[in-house]
Amino acid sequence: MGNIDKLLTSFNAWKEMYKKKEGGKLRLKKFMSVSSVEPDPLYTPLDFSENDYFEKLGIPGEFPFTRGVHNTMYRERLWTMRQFSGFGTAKQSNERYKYLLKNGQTGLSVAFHLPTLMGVDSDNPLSRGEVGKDGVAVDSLRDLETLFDGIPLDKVSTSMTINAPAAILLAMYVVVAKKKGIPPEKLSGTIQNDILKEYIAQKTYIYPPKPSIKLIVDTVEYCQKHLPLWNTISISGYHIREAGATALQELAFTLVNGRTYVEAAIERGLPVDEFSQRLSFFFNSHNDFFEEIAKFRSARRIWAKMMRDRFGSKNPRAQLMRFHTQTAGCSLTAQQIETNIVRVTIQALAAVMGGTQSLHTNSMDEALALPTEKAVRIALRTQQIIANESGVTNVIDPLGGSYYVESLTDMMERGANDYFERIDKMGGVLSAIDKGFFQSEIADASFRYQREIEKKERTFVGVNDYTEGNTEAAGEILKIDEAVEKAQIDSLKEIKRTRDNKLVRGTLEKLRQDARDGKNVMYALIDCVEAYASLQEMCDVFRDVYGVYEEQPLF
Amino acid sequence: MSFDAALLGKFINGEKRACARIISIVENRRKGFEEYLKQLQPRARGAYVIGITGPPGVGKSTLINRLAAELLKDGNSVGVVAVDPSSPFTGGAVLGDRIRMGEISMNSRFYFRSLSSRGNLGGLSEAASDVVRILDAFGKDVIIVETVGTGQNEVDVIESCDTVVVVLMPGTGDDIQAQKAGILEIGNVFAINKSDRDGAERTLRELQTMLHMNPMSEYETRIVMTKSNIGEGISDLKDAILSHRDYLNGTGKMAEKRSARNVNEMTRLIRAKIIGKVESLMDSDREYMKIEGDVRGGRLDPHSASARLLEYIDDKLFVSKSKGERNG
Amino acid sequence: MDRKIKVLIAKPGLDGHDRGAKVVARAFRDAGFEVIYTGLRQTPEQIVNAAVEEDVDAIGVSILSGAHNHCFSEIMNLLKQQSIEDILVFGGGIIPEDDVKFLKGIGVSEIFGPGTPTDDTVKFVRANLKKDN
Repeated sequence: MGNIDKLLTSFNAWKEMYKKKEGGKLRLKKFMSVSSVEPDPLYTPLDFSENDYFEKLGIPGEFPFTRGVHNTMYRERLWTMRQFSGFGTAKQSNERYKYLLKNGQTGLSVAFHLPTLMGVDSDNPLSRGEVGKDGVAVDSLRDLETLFDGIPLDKVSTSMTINAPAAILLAMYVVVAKKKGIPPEKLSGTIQNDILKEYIAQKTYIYPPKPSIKLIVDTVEYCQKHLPLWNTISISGYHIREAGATALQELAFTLVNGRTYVEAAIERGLPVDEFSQRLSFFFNSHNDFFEEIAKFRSARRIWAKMMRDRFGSKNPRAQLMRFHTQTAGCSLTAQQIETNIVRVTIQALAAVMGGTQSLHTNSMDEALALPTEKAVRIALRTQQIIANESGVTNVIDPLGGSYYVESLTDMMERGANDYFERIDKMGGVLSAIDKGFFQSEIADASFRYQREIEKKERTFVGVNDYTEGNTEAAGEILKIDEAVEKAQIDSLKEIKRTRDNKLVRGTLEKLRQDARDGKNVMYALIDCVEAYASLQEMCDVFRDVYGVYEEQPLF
Repeated sequence: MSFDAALLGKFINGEKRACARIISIVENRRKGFEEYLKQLQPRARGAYVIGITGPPGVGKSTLINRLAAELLKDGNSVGVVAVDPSSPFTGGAVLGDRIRMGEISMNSRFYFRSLSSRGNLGGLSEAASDVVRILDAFGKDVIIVETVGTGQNEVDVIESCDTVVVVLMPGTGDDIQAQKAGILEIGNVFAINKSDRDGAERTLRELQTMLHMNPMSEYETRIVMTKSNIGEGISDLKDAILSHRDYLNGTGKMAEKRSARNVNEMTRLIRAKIIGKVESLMDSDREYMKIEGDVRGGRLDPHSASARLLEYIDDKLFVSKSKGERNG
Repeated sequence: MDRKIKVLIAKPGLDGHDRGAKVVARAFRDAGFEVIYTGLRQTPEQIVNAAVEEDVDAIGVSILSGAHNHCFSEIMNLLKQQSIEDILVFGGGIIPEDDVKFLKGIGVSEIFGPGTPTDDTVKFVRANLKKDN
């Protein structure tokens, strides 16, 4: 213990010296993280004790999984390189997917255009000007068949970013696979299917919370029986962060949403040790390198404890948190876009050192438009360089034991628990959404961040400083042909003309009946999908039965 | 820019833009505003004014949307004035009540106007009354005024409506206690919204108890259960409101209320004018500065100071005039 | 007192990304403006109708989904149809340089891209009001 005394003495002396410099010798008045958290300048063994190792860290692949969810991590298998992609018609996106797979991508991730996300068809007046612009247009099974044409769905896993209509897209995917002769139990992939964060952040909700959660539990139940390899929910923090939340808020709000889904599934009578194995998460990776790493590690630990202690999970496989990461879209600049490559590299590195299972790296031109081929290739190469040239994959959880990182991991866990308490006092997540709690926390954080930038308390390279070079033209960006809209509308018309409309009406009626009766709607959906009912036709049935949601916005 | 007869002409022709412009001129007391009000006075049609108030988050806007839709269906021309608080520091405001209006916003017989509460500058109830008056002259049969129901300003606005609807939602008993400040006493109809929530029965009972304890009311206040998000209970609400209107018309109270209201408004306006006049006098007056200085320095107590000031004002404003008259 | 500036902040089409719109709304409020926020998923008709009813000085359109050319065109057409020339129209979001040129050509006064300080937008509105009140 003599060492501790020595440490204490010299540390205190250092602190005194530092305090003197705080007067004006330091570069900045405040040193803060992206989330405006102010870390100490130095961390030492005084901040982390080896005695806590087993309780706080443990062995990778074992409870509490702080160091990672596999015991060999990247030595056995790298994270999946999964670039979120989709634009124009299904045919165009199919070409882009093939390009990405050829360039070393290891999993697919589908971006649907806004009308699909909102459960309306391309010929709906609300869709004017939006068709194919920010995702691929999918109005019916036909589009999904084209989207996956020539792609072996039994060998490639697919993540679909779809929320309110997730059950429908899942049904479509199952039918596409069936037509290719692939049974559902061989299908591997994810549907985002996380409606709670829609009310909080992304806003692609359709129906009110309660029936939306019911639809989610339907998919969980269905997949348990028929798609054992499928990730039923991608409980997301990415969007919450993009809306302006801090790292801590992203962590806390995501986990508490996850908790709500677990509660709902348990209420349906589903066994926690089974369905939880197929829950997955989706986080953001922003610029503050250590803050993000601590966030990821803390997330795994909190979730593992929650599953074991609150929900009585006995199977470690049901306690471990697997997650996908996307680098922060909101950190990209429209100025000097090449600098975004650097930002994405730092963010991707943090995700890897935080132990992500799957990663999407943004392209440099995404503050301007959807990525060009070249830009997305660079983004993929970024992952490949990290994987093969940087050496960080040689060691599992290489930052484990860092005084700073462990301190920060602990702090995030404490902060998250504080948030859980506050939300519980409000009556839980649905109640807090109603009260506008999440929305006002996010609005405050995003406004504060903006003010920090405008007051130059925070430097944003190319935006409020280092702006020489901003006037240089950005170069080629992706443009979506206006003809896509007409082509899509014509194709939908053709489908509606040639399908068996009597059959469609019958399947939609059965869907309505099942929805009204509170049955699991997946079975009726599969029939509707096979008959080539359109996405909107199916969503409208739910609109009738469940009603629509309107938000109370907060500033 | 003062009174523009062409603008008035367009208003009379039913042009929405002209109506909107006149509302802005009157609301902001721009040059010539009194002339518009004077010209519109004979065009008053006696629109029926429904005040809707209640704490934030109970679903007032959604309820108003549903109610307005019903009234439009019945063939009425409907206007809504929605009051939102402004920042007391910057005077700015974010007015978000339009959001709920959805499809009915495009109905040609529907008009929605947001009004900021002007923070502590006062004048909210005048502004709201004036907007109501303008919408009345524009041809609205029914005008709904929405406020948040906190603060004296908002209570004044609500009192200037014919029928007051107080919207609550199921919650802890504390909520009702907290709302007592004036609102419960002026409600003619109560709506318990989001009535599918836990505690709805209890809220209903507590409300009934409280209303029975109010001896002043001659009218039997109705309580309606509503679910504005799915549109349940809206016809009941409409019925309850119209019943109150029939009561007012049948007993002559409607006319009474309205004349009293006009007189009250005149009183408020003249008070404000008088205070304004006195204040501008005091602004640079030496005697006033001296007295104020003494109060500031603690040499004179506020009561004596005010007595002295009143004498001085009396002298300056009233006596000097009659002196002049005496002198001929 | 300075004349009160009234701005409509609109989210047309299906786009639900409202972080920017809300931050700008709040900055405007702090600058003393009255902001009418339309909420999400507005049609161009609803936006112009709201601008008329509220007698606003300016319409700020936020759009990140790529549908800007269409949405702005519709809005400018509706204003033209109603002979409304005294409302300042500006926008923000994800709008490439080429499209900015097109939009200015149809009467949009300015587009404030990612990274624009909110103060700049406030100043711009103050300096470019068309309604003479």
